[in-house]
Amino acid sequence: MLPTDCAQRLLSILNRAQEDCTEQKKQLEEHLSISRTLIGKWKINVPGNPKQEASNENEHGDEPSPEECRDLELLNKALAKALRIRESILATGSKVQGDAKGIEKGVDKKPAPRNSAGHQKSTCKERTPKSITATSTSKTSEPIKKNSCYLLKAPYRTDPERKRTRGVATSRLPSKGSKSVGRGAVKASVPHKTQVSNSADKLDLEQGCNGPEVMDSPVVESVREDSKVTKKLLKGPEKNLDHPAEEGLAESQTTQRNSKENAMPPSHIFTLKEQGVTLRLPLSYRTAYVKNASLWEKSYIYQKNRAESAPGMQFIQRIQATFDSVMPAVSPAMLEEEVTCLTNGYTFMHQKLEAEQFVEEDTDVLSWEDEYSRLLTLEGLQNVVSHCLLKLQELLKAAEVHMKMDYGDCSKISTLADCAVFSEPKCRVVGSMTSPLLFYSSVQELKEMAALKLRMQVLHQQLAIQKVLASELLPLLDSEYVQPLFYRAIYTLLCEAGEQFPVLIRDDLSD
Amino acid sequence: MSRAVNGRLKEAIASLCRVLSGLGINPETFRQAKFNRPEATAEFWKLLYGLLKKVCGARTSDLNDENIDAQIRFVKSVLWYYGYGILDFYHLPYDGSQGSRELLLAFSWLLHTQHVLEKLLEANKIRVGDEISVCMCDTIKTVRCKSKEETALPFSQRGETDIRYLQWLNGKLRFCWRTLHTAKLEEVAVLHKIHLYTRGCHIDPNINHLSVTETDLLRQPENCNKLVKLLESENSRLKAYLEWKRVESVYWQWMESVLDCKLEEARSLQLQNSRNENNTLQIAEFCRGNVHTIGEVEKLNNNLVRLHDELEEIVSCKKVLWNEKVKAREKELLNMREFCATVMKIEQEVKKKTEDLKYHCTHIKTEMHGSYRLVFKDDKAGFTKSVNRQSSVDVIKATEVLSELRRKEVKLEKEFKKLQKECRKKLDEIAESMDGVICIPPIKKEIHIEKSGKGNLT
Repeated sequence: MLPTDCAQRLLSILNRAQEDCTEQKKQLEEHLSISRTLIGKWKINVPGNPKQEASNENEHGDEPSPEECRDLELLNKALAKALRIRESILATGSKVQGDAKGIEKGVDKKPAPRNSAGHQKSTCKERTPKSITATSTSKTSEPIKKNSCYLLKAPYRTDPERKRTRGVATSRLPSKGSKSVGRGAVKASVPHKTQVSNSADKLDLEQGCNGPEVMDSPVVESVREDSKVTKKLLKGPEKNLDHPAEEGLAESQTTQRNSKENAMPPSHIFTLKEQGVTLRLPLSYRTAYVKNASLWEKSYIYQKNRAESAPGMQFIQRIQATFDSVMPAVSPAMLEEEVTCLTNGYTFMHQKLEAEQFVEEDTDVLSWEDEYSRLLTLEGLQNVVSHCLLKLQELLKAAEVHMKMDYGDCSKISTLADCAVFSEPKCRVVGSMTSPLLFYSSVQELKEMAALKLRMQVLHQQLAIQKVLASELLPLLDSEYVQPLFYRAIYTLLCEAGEQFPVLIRDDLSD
Repeated sequence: MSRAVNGRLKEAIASLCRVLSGLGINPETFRQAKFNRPEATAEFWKLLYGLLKKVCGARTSDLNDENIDAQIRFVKSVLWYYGYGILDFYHLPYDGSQGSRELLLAFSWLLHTQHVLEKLLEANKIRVGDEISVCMCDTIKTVRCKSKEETALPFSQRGETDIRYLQWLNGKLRFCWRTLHTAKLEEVAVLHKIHLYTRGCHIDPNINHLSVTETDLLRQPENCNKLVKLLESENSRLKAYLEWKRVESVYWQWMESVLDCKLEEARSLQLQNSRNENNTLQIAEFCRGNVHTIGEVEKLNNNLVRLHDELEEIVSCKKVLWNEKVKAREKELLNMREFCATVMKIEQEVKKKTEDLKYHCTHIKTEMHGSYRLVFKDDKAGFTKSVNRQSSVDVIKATEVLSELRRKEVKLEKEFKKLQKECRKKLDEIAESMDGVICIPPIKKEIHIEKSGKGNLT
């Protein structure tokens, strides 16, 4: 059994380490879940379009009336039912598999455009509240809530051109290669203007949109009526990459055009692995990013050219001349820095000496040149040590001045860490204003880096724990009689990091 | 002051305030502070507190005090730490009612000597990349923070504690480390996949691929506007900073006039009451001191003295040996000139080495620090070529970081082993004194288990 106060300290440090570790793991898990989602399947949608759609309605003044909405609701219900039946039939019949898949896709996609409903001041949203709630729930668990996804949206217009593309789209399984994707893009970009109130067609239509979205930047352009734009699209992402400005231009043109037509917000299932390379960052982000990078660079140049003759030097000199003589010459910050530096120096010299002694043991016979050189090296080392000691004396004086100004108050505070506000080492790069890059060339490098960093962190923690354990547990063994069990536990903790046990053998010869 | 200068000063202060936007300072406050108006005081304390908390934030995690008294204490302690030496500042009342000019002076001093603006910008920087810190500063911090809280939170454990419970806790901790290790490996693996799959998607040719944040932006476009807004506000701050850099000299001239005002006032005050009675400084009232450093200084001093003595002994011993040897060899040496030349050569070599050593011991090494954006560059792509050299982008390779990390790891490992060895020595002594019990220590492992487990990367 451990004495209470000692146990408290030990348990507290171990628990703290545990908490710290769990906390880190939690953070890591959060981050990891985002990354995992990105690696998995996700839906892509176009935020620009729903807005246009909404504004469109307003412009044309053909918003659905409350009666229409009611009708729509009924229609939705009927549709859902019909699809349920259709699905159950499809599930049994395997030969129409392709079609079923198409429906499923349509289902999955449907909530996606709604995701971006937050962007719009949609009137439709207000008028068909039921469908909104239904879709918003389906957002979280798409495949299960299929039925609710079949809801029609208020402006039930469809276009026959798109409908025709369906043939192509459905005959294809969810797009695998960029080739088929490209094909889809052409089809979908065909202008579409006629309105059809057939709701079933609309579902198919959505499915037809699968193709183009892969091709398009998911956030930027969606539907292009112009064949010129279509051509550009066909040329693929490389083109876009090379001419971001041109693309931007085209984009703005398309947006204008888009506002005149009623575009379905298309979406589709997307995997980073297959279609990741086609992703394009949104224009607004790109613009802000580029500007940001160049501004940082400019600021960095200012930093680099920061000279001693910088403006303000005269003011600083003058104000520092008025500093009171009571103040110590060395500030705590400087003191800390110097001490760190000298401590590093000490460790280095100590290692040097150990190395020298090691060599000595190793070889008995040395040439006189070597021996002389080593003698001189040691003498040099001695010089440096004296130099460091002198410097340290000054620092000690300064530290004493600081102490005096404290009126010894600090000595009352029990632990060091508790005492100094600034006991934590600072990262020296702060304020350098660079945006540095770290190039890695393989996942192995990345893994080793992560593992090493964690290993060092663990070692830091182990060191801290070891120190506390040793200072608390070793005195307990000073008593007259040591219980073997107790001894063994302490041995394991202190000498083996809790990994291995010593074997204790009872050796009672008297018996 | 001429009108033109005045205008430029206004411009300078305005851009300064824009850089400091978010800390709620108003250009007018600066003017008020010059004339030591009490109404400017509160705003300045707030500014200094907010600024310093942000800049030294990582080091003072426990500070979230709303109370003005505590805020003032904090600001004073930071200025004391950096060595600001005007006593009047430290004597300012804790209710924050007066002293705006002192505060303006202190702020300007910080601005220039501690580069707080740059630090602020850096601290607020929006990070869109996948960053990794190449130093261990953050992790050491967590270790220390822990021991800080340790005393603050008394562990309420009732009854007695069995040492086996301690062992169990220790085991649990080790298990936790291992799971963390696995999670970290998974994280980087996924990260790499994202980098790999999004190649060619980034606007910056140096980066080429997307980061997690950027990819997530595409998955959830509704977050895009938010991020763009953040970037834009940072852009405006950076623009203000560049503007400030262009016109700052006029501000510093003005600050000299502020200092003159103060000195003049002080002179007239001194005439009135012959001696300023308040020229002692009791830092304990705001600063919780620096026992930490003095303890370290003393420890270091002892270590150095010991090293010095040890060296002295070795050197004197060696000298004797060397002299004897030389005497014995003297006859063998035919050519005295050759001998002298060799000696000279050795002396020069060693001298150079010693100089290096001296430099090493008195200068902080420039180690890698801070966060870097992780960028995947295939070796085949020849990444030295692909880097845009004309830009000032700071680039390091993972191999460099790795070797540095390995070096540090070995050092730490050694330190840990040393501590264990010391304990083992003590425990062995105790075992010998135990009656009727023989202790057989566990077999020495050749490879460290943790390491072999973690080194397994393939």
